Amino acid sequence: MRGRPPPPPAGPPGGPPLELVGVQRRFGDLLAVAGVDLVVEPGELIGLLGRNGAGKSTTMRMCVGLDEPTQGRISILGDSIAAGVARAAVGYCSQHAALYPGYTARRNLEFFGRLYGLRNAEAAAAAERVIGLLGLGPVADRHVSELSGGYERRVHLGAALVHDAPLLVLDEPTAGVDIESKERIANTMRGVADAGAGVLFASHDLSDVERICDRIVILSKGVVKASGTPKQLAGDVAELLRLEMETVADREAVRAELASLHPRVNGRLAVDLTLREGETIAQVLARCEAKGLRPARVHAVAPGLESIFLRVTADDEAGTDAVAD
Amino acid sequence: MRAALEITRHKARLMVDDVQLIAFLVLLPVLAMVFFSYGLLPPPGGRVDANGADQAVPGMAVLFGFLVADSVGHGLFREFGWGTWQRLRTGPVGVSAQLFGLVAPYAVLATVQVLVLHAIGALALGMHFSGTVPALLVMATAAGITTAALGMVLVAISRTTQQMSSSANTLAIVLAGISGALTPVERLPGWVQGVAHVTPHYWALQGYRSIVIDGAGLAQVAPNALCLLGIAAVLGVVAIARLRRRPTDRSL
Amino acid sequence: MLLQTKAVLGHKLRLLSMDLQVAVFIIVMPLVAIVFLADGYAAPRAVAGATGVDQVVPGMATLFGFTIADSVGYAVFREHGWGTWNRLRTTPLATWPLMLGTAAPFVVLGTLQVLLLHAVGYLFLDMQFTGTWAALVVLAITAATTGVALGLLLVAICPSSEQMAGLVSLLAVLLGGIGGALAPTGRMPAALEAVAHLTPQFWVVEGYKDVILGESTVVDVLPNMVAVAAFAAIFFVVAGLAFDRNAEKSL
Repeated sequence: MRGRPPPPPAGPPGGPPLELVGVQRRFGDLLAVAGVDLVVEPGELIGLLGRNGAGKSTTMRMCVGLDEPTQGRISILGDSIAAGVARAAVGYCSQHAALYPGYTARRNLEFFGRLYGLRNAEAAAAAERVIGLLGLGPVADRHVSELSGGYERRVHLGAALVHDAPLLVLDEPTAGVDIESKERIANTMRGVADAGAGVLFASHDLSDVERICDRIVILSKGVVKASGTPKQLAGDVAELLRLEMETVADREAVRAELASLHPRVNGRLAVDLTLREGETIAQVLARCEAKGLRPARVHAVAPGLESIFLRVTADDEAGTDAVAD
Repeated sequence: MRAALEITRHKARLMVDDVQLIAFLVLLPVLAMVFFSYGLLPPPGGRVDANGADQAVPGMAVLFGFLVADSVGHGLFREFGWGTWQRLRTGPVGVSAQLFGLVAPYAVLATVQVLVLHAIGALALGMHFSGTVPALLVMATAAGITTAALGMVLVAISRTTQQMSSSANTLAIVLAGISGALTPVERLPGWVQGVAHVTPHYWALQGYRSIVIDGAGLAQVAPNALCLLGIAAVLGVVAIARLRRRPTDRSL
Repeated sequence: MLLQTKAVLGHKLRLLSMDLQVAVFIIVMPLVAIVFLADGYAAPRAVAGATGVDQVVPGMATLFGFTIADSVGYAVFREHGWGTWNRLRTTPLATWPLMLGTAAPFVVLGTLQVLLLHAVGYLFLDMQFTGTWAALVVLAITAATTGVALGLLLVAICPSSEQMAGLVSLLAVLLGGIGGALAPTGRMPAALEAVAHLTPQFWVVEGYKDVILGESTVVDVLPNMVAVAAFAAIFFVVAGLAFDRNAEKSL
């Protein structure tokens, strides 16, 4: 894959890096994951989006073997995750950093490398490679407890990269992290995918997702609501309508009247609305007219990922707030 | 002062919720006391019919009584950890009043513990009770206050909860041992007896013991109680001074 | 798998060595207790030359020996707190090497603890030693294993390390007391004597006393070892059954 010997087990892969077929996870009465089909091909970088409670983390936990689906099948390179064989092929990053605070960054990386079967020299070399990749040179030999959040997150990601896995499953790798670390992490993920690994990562950071992902999957209430490239998704979603009103009072009145269209304030006088299937500009204007509200200007705007996301997940919550987090 | 009482009431409510704490503070010493009373030799001096319980009950009252300092420490660290300490500190109430409010429930708990242990000893384990109840009350109260002060000092000088806890536990057993809680002082080397006089544990134990086997009353234990309160005052002053200066340098 | 077990073992030993608190509770506390109790007890058995020390050393070694359950439990809880427990579960590391690597350092620690306490008693406190050190070693290993098994059991059923610590202390004193670690079984009410046989501590402390006062060899303490090992087996089995993979543990 990268000019290095592949990690154990050898042998031809029997399937894509990750495949979920009809995966369900039930907790008593709650169906947290209600039937998810998903494939990650080699070299693909897939962004998993969804509101809190949509089932992202549960899905990811099942992909790495921390939980079992109550129905459906998850396979990694054709093998079930339960087999140790499949575990060796996955690198996982949980939502919160999982490192030994009393160990140095380097020792953490070497230790996890060894658990994946790397012998001493190999583990040390792998750790060194990851340190270079993630820009950890200045802090490699400091204790993790002394590191800032950004560096800690990089080491956390590094622990998933150290064994060159063909599949990476990352839960919010850039959450709450400084800009430099975010850049580093995002670029590293792209690089790893370019080198042939399949990468599935969940995020609330839409700008990152938009920039580096090959495909986006939006989870809503435990099912895949939308899937595709940002362009494809934009095509499914109808337009973003921007109404520029004349007074702040008018603007607020429009927001109240058209609450079902998830109005968002844009600057002092404008309101952005997302239209759905069957909703036309004419209808919107008619409703405004009925309340005596006349916009000074009306634009149709190409929807960004944020508005796509809001529209797709509109059923999840009653609120019209911006993406959580 | 009213604010301090308010804090006390709040802290006490938290404690009562913590059934575990209470079970731990009472059940554990009672169990230890029961078994030790069968195994320990009776204390020398005092009445001739002294038994193992006469050694075990005062001994455990001292060992576990001063161990409450560990709980005091945990309670205080929890306040720091929750960020509520910061909020309390930047409020209108003074540091000493707040500390008083926070540790007062533990002092009460420690006092009650001593009384309960002696009661169980007398009623169920054949411990003799030659002295007077007021004497025991005064001794128990003085010891309770001292252990709260001890907890405060340990927090003031420890950086982490673990450090505080290790210190509290080590101190409890070592000083209890020196004071004669386990083996009567008379059987310990002379120099140890000398050192013991500096510890609150010694004064507490001698106080309890003289009530149990020597028929001591209020007048006889007054010096012991005063010693305890003096030590408590010193510890308290040191603790408050240190905590006032660097109160944010605490981590869980 | 051997490579991974070695990796985990080395890692756990390193973590242990960085943790001074454990040393305090495992070594310092029982040592202090022994030193200060040495002159406060009567001899436990009517054997020539026996003194209170011959009860105190085996007794405290037994009592504090079981607190190793708290240490091993805390080590597991800590991994949960750091998030590394789940990370370990996603690696190819199988359950057995993980458990073995976690438990083994504490079995060693527990054994060393018992040996150290008896050595101190023998060298400095006039404790008798009429049996063989080999017998003491195998008994100590068995006792430590049981303590560790209890620790794993409590980790499986306790949701927080604080609860577990409290439970360990209570069980150590209750069962230890009943078993004769605090007062010799012979001096307690007859009713308790019968119940004593149902505790692992009884078999351990009597075994230690057999070694130091009864000239016992490995063969002589075999019945004790079997009894103690039975408890260990029970604890391991229940721990395995009670272990819930997805349980949320908090420090």
